[in-house]
Amino acid sequence: MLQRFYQPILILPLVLMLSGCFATPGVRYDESLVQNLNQVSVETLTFFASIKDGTQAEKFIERKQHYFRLLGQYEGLEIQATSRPYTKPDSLDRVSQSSTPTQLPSVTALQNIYKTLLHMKQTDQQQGLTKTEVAVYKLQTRTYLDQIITFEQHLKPY
Amino acid sequence: MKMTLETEPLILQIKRVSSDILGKDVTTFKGFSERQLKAIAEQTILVEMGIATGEITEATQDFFLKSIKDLVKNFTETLKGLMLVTINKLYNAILDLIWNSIKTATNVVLPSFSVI
Repeated sequence: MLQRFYQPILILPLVLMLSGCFATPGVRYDESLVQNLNQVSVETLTFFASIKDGTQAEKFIERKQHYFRLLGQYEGLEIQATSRPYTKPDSLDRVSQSSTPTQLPSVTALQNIYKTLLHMKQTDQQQGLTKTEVAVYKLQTRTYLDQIITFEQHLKPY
Repeated sequence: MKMTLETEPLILQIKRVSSDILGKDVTTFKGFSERQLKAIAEQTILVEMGIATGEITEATQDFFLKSIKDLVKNFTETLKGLMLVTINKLYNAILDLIWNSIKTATNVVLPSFSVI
């Protein structure tokens, strides 16, 4: 008896109805973005390792180009992540109505890394950085990197 | 030759596909949450100790305190995003399975559905 409900002709309207609820496309996995992220994260953590004992403002000039390079790369990654074809699916709107994010969490994390490095550069230039300050900037950046890479990798289809 | 779809095998296939996706993704959620919570706790302790010892200067104190809040906020947003992506993967996988089952049973070329 139940089998009758699974006759193709009866299933079709159900499937079409379901697909209508989720018809809009979502976010696409971008392999080149993930590769670039991995490369920039290594470069960022290498820079942090080089200043782990703290810095002196007088020698800021030696680090200036590192900051510019990293800031430029994170801005570039943000553009790459944002420029993907993306429409938030209807189903997701309903699930996340309480605080609808206006952008992907990975994009927010990229922006926050940019802000972190910019603040770090300004402080470094003005007064240098203590060992603890370098450690806090580093952990903050690393935690955001984990958010970005985990989310972007998760977009990879099965 | 046309076949008839049967309930039990179809349910079993849907369950198998769902379990595969959920099993793998729940592991991702768990690992991610553990790493993030550990990092946020470490960050909080570092900031607290830094303020107490003066190693965190006035120039950075407010920024670091606000940053902890931003870090936690984006952790929860990321976790939510991961779950939503999984729901979509589940939807696509189940629909794909149903679609193929219908195609196989009816031997009819069906229009493709939109994948999220």
